[in-house]
Amino acid sequence: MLTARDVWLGIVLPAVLAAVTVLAAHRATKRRVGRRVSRTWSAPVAVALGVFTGTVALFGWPGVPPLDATEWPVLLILPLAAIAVVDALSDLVPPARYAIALAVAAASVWLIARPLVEGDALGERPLEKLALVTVLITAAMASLEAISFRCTAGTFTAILLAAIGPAALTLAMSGSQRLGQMAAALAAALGGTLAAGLVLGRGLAPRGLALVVGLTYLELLVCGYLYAELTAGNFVLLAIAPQAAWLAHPWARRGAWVAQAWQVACVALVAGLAAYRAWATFAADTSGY
Amino acid sequence: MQNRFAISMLCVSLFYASSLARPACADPVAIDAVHSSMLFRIKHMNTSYIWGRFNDFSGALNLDGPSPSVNVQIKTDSIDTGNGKREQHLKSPDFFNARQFSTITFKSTSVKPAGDGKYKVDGKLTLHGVEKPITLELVRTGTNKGPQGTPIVGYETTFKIKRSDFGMTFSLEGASDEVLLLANLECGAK
Repeated sequence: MLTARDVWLGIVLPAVLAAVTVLAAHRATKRRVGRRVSRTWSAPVAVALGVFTGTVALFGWPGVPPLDATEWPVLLILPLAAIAVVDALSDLVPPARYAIALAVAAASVWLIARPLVEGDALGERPLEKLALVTVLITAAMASLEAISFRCTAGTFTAILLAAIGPAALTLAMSGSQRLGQMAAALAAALGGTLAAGLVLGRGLAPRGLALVVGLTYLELLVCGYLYAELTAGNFVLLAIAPQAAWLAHPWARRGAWVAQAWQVACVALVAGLAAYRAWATFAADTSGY
Repeated sequence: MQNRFAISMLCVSLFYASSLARPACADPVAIDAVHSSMLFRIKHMNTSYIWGRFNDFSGALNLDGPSPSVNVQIKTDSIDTGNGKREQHLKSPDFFNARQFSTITFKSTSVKPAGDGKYKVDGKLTLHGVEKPITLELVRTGTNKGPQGTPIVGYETTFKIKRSDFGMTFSLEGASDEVLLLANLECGAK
């Protein structure tokens, strides 16, 4: 059940805060460090602030460390944004960036799954399983970043939105409304940066978004799979959905909006399939809850 | 010889009589989950009460021994409200997060007789990973002999908690903060 409070705090607040943050960062820094730099780091910071503030307003302060392992994505998004800023300002070489991505993915997966490892709930060879998930997440983030370099900022944001929107619905229909609302806050904040980019006249450079948004998105999926009822099939569909942008890449060219729309559509199709599968299961239950 | 026999019989009789009068012996007696129940009641949207139960629990009571204790463990995954989808939601991270917090426990720290078959039990309730001190009034509801001839005894306690005290803050407008818990425990060897 979604209340008006859920919409205001969980969707409107993250979107508005993210948009305002981008606009304020642009205004505050354009004279000192130039437009390019402010556009580079402001989007991931804006998304992180929007998601964190919206989620805390909705569900309260999670505590450090959080009581519930599914609250880690909300806490981790702030240090991720800090790493994205450092990355943007220092212009790290790719091996260093991949090493950072691997380290933060490993830390995230371990923090989220640790209660299950300690409770022997992951079956045999839990550490090997977590290591595999970490490597796959790192590869997914590297791939996302490669996509971001090959399309416009607006298109990349739209690609992420096309995956996160259906993911929010899928998570909400997979046993946990709270995880769905966290994903919705992520989508809303990302939408806010997109709107701010339109106001500024040009898209925001997407660097850092792959780390902050991509990893938070995958963390939420891991939470849904480990702690709620997100099925393995829907987990895989949603995890690979942003990668579907590669399917349209040969036809995607900067400025060719039809090709870019096709790229977004491929992502939405894969993520939408997961949402449809979750809805079909959800609707089949006629118990009235 | 006759005197010794009479004294022996007297001792046996006294021992037997004392065992009947005090069915809960000095050693902890296991909870018979088949004849016990763990119920809870919560208010839906400040309107009507919904009852639920936990089907898998265990524990042991020792109320009359030199070091009395009450220990209960409840499997959160065994929640039963008569609606599968609601149970799935209750087990999710929105409420119990049953995969992370698989057990609710109560461990007494002090048990004192309060007269008339009642006991004041202070202890620590751990729910959703949060430990809080609570005080219960445990009331003896009856004693008898079980089918095997061994003594059995029943107890009941009713108490209220606020779920937000245990970090369960999701949808407080949909399901009340205050939750009533009712435990009926039958103890004794089967």
